[in-house]
Amino acid sequence: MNDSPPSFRQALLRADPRFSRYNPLERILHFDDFNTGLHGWQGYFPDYDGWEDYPGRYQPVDSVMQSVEKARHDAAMRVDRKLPFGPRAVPMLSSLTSWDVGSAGGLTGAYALKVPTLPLAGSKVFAQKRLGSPWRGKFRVETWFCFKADASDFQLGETDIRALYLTFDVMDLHHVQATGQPPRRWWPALRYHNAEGGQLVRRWQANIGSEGVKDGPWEYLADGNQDLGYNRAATKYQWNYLRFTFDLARYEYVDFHCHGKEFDVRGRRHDPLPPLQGWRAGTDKCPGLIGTGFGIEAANNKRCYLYLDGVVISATES
Amino acid sequence: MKTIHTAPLEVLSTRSNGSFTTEPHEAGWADEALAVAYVREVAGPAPVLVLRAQISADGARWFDHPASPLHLRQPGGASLVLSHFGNWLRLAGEVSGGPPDGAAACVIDLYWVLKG
Repeated sequence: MNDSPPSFRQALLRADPRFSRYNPLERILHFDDFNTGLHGWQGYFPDYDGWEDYPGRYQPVDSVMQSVEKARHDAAMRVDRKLPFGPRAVPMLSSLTSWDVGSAGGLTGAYALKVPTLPLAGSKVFAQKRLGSPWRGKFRVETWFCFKADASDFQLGETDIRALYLTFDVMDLHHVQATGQPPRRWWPALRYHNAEGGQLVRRWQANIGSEGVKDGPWEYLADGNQDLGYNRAATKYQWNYLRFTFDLARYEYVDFHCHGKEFDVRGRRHDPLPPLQGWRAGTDKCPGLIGTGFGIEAANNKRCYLYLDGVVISATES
Repeated sequence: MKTIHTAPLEVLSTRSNGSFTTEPHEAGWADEALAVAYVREVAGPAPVLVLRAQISADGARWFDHPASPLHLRQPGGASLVLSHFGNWLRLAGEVSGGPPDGAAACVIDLYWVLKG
């Protein structure tokens, strides 16, 4: 507890039950309360051309029908290349309802945003929203979340969840070119590696050198160990707080906090390895994008769920 | 103002003879649900897709909703109209009359269109 009296702004935030669980930066851009709708969080899919009016189109991007054909013959296709044709799991408003306790509801009301996987080992599903900031300052995402495996087999299911994700696709505003600097694209991201091969791992990772933000490879944080609350029954939901901040002008991680533990990410950054080529390195059509994704990955042939009670997005002007 | 949400359950999905179910979907907030089915292509001697809405109290034990099932035999769109369905929804499909070699009998898109 800080001994100095809170500022007027802090006092207002701490006395407002909508924000008292969060620590937003000076500009609150979004408060997505899932008791009032999905607020634009939708299923993720990568680019596909689908049209012919774009002369500089990205060569590795296939048409829809080319992608369908490829995926029919490649079950292991990367999620950031694979179009979501066929059966899919999509974000939805959940009342966290199960056979034994009925509806648990969200943390603050009747509903939470649920991100479900397919009942398939390796299934990885994201709720995605294309955000942005008009300022080149810090950008912060906060949420209260919990995660569970499907309870229909009455098993705890903790090791059925491979990983949780918070990923970003960040592109510079194009007026940075006036400073003589080419606009950049980078992918700050975090992954909670929960379990592998039936064993709990429970370590946080960051995106430092990958060339595919949703597929890694990921780097373990040196201080990344964290036993997140999962609870002792398949239908008992326990909520955790998460805050992640990065700097749009410095292309650096600023801070990362998860439910009581501060992790040392300051000054870390994402430098794609190998460097992104062509269109993937470019920011054409998307200046100022901060594409944000919350995701979950199944370790076994069982549905896994990530629940978000709310999301607060905030920024600084510099 | 009401909330409306369209959830894509299957897009460009190829189905051959046999049965399937869509992923469970929670829609307790909605007063009405339309299951919208588009058939893009059909193949085989007498292809037919029968779609039923199913409901559940817990997302694990499913049974048919009283709404009459859809019978889709040719390209086009159709919908199942549901008003009393509780929270959990899914679609159960049965494909028959497609190519006997197991090739796709139909290419379909399925959605929940939810409003409440």
